[in-house]
Amino acid sequence: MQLFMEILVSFFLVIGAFFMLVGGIGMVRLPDLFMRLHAPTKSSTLGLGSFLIAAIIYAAFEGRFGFPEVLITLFAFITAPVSANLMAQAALHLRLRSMSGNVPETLDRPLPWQRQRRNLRRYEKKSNDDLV
Amino acid sequence: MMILPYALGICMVAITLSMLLCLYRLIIGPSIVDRLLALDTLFLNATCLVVVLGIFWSTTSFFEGALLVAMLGFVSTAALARYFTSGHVID
Repeated sequence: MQLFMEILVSFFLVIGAFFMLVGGIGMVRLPDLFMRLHAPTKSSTLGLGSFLIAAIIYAAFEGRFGFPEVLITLFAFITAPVSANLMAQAALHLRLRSMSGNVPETLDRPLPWQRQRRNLRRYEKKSNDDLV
Repeated sequence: MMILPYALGICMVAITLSMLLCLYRLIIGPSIVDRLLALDTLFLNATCLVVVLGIFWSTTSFFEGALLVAMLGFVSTAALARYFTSGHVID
């Protein structure tokens, strides 16, 4: 039973270690910020997920329910896309170029908190045209 | 305890290598968003390292520490990204 638990935990730990290494290598190897945004998602979902599955199995064989591990899983899986989206919005705002060519429609699209101001400016322009 | 210490050693070596690669990106990053992305990945790797150390020493309090590290990483990433985008964190 002890050997079975160790084999199971070690299997998930080695899978998680592999994906953490993949995330770290992709962080250096990929040439562009928008490609580099892909690298930590691998290590956040598969790497951290495998480590937490291993921790839950280890806690279950120790005789307790791994409640903080479940909380870490929920928190990491909720906040990873939110932070990636915020970083992509910051990159679009700073007008970083992508290696895959020009993407003008995404550069011209206003950010969510600029949409109100953009509509106001368009309205002012239209009213000036009406005056002229 | 036959193969679990070896697997934990492999995990610690892999996470440390990943942290070193993220530190390289944090130093040479061309733009400021690259450095923010490297910082976010460093927080993630620190969370994983705390989880692995919690298995290594078989204590329960390390997992609550990992939860704290994850929350701190998300709040700092969100605040810095918002600051780079709109110039102020809170409207």
